Amino acid sequence: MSAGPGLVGSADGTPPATRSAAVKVMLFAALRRAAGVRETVVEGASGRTVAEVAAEVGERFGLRLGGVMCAVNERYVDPGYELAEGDVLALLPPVSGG
Amino acid sequence: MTDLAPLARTADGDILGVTPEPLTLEPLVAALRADAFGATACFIGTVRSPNRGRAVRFIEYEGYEAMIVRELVAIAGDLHRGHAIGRVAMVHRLARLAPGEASIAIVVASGHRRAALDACSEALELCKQRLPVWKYEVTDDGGAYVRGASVAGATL
Repeated sequence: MSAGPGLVGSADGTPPATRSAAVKVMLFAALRRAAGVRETVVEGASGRTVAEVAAEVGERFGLRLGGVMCAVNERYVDPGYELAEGDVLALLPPVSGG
Repeated sequence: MTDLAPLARTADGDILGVTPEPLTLEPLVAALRADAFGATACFIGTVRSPNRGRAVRFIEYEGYEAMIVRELVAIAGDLHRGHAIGRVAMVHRLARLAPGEASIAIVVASGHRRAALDACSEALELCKQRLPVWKYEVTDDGGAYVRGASVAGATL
């Protein structure tokens, strides 16, 4: 079984030789409520942009992402930011602190 | 919040953090006090009711805690660069809060009043723009997220 992109693990449970570069995506506020989960994982996200990965998550859960800001590893980033393995992407609806 | 233990003090002597506990100014004022600081400006933000004409039962505050702390450190850095201040405290409470309960406390100590007042005002504006915090407001008509701002980062 070749370790192609998108391969997560083998069926018999042995660790894959090449794990696809996964990125954890955190959802907050209205996005969290709409999705019904606080976080999800996107496989093969390394090298893709925040906008691309966010769109995949949006499609997965039927989310509307207009006005949403993005953070990677707890820092605001532009949608064009390129993700690397192990990054944590957060999708942040308009904020209303204070 | 009589105990400052969960709140880190930075190298600049600032106190920054998030807490689920009730906020009070006195411990923050005491923690920032120094003989050289002749001015201390304080701000407390509390849950307002009625809001937009509707009686508020409570607001559920939700936040991305690790990022809030990181942003608070960045905001404090901006305040130190932009104003002649000594120390700043910024603490956001995340919990279900009833009208009148405090959600944010800001204290700025400086040599003279103008810097403290200006920095305190700017601190609040920056917190509202940059902290990843959301308010779910519940009235007799149901609940909804309070309209927020998307100016801290580019949007999707």
